[in-house]
Amino acid sequence: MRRPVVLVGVALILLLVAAGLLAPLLAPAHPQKMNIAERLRAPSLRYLLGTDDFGRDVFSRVLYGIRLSLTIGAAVLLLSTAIGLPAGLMAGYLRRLDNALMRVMDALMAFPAVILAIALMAALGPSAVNVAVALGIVYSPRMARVVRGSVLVVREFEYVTAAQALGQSEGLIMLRHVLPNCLSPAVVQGTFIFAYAVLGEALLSFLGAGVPPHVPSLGTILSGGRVYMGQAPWITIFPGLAIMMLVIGLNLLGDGLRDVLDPRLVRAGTG
Amino acid sequence: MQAYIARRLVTMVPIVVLVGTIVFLLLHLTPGDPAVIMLGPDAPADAVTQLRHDLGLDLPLYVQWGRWFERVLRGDLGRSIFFGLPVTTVMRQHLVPTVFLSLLAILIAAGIGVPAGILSAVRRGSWLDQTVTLTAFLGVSIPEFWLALNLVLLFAVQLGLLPVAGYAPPAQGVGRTLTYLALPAFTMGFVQSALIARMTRAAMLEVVAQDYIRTAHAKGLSFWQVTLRHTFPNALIAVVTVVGIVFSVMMGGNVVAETIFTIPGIGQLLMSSVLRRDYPVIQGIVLLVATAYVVINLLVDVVYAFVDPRIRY
Repeated sequence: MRRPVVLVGVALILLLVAAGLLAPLLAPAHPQKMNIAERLRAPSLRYLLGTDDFGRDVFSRVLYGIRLSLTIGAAVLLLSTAIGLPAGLMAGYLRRLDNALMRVMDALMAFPAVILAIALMAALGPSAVNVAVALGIVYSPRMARVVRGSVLVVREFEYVTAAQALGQSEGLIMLRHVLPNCLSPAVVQGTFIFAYAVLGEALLSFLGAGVPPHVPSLGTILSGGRVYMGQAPWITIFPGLAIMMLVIGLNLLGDGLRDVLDPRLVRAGTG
Repeated sequence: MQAYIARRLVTMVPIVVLVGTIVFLLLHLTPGDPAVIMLGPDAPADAVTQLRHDLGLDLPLYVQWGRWFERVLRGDLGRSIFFGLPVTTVMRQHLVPTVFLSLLAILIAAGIGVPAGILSAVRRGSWLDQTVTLTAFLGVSIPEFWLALNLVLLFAVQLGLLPVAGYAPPAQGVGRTLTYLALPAFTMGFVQSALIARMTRAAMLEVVAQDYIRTAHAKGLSFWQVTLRHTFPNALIAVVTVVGIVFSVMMGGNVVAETIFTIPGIGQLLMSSVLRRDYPVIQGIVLLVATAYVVINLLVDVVYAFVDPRIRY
């Protein structure tokens, strides 16, 4: 933790994770509770971040939105790791599978991420689970590539040759000797995938191809407030800031982890 | 060179076939009967049967796959359910705004990103470098659609300088087209310039450390002669790569800017087709975009050879 900015990233993430976890306790109102008499109120002590066009408390909705962003980010991370890590490990170590596995990953990478996610959502239908599935599929090749890259280096090390000479099985060598030495780049990549997933969920929901419009997500709050930007900018400003804080926190953490876990990359990356 | 291009084209084949298969399977991922989903729950039963037959959904999956590929190879992407026109015609009608927007946006992105990257590398550690690094970091962290909304609020709603949204074809005057495209192109350009600046800076820093740069300084060339004649040309490969990738993403992925600024391009067509469940159009766009992506990547590799005579294929 040489660089203090990494601590800023960690602090931002801890703050937002706390906000998401404690949303039901912290929220002054139910995120869906409407009150037409109190619509489009500016931020005040009563409504910290104002109210939206249905008189719903924006602060409460943003808290639940952060909660959803974090949940979907974690689900995307798990899914893309569950697909990408074994695929990258096998492609890198079992050379006979490399071509087939990586061609599939190349084909998935041939789609711009947003386009593939939108197309998958069009097929799957709008729901939070489907957003996690679509983004998990979209980002799994990124995990696979990074893992494969480091497996290709690690498999040439002498302790792997030694294990092979001892006659250990391929599966055992992969899990016991190769995998543990490939985890650092995967952890770094995982942090960035989490950040992409947060941005991706917000974008899909904003465009109407993510979670259903009534679910409080940072994206749906933004798209709902869009029409009222001129008169009630607080509806769009605060969820946007929440997304940015989360993504900045994750990117800072990812950069910091990369410096700590992979000293070879420091030279070109950060100066 | 020709041999290299031919070899690359051959390796493209399996990727394009897999891409096509993924696009083909998209329709079959839909929970329930695609024909019912497209026509809506109230559609009469014989219309559903007819559409199932037209789409070939009553055939075994592998037969459908084969027939779909055969049609795609002949350039037939099916008919749009919403427009009642061939998908290729619908896409052609939406192509021009996307091309103009992407060209303008890549000019802005490279125009900001490349000089910023060069300056921050040669003045490493200065306030300028720190500003560029910080701005680039914000650029990759800011949600593009949120930036677009804030720019609309500032320049269109508050200051009234530019139109809130919309598009005018160049036939009505290039100046008018540019005023409509200014905000969306700047949004896309600014966000992407962050990546270009980062890559340019990293590539420049690699080159600055080389011996021949020290030699160039030692033989008495001025600082900018060294930077522009010796350092930058050697960093150009990385710059060309990132600009090429960014451009291919823009050509296919204008969804955000085109939707927010209601520009009738490919990205907006994709979004409205998703909302209309017009699957043939969705499939056509996704296929076109992915193929274009693969082709542009190939072109980027070919450009390498012109940029760097050391590369022999």
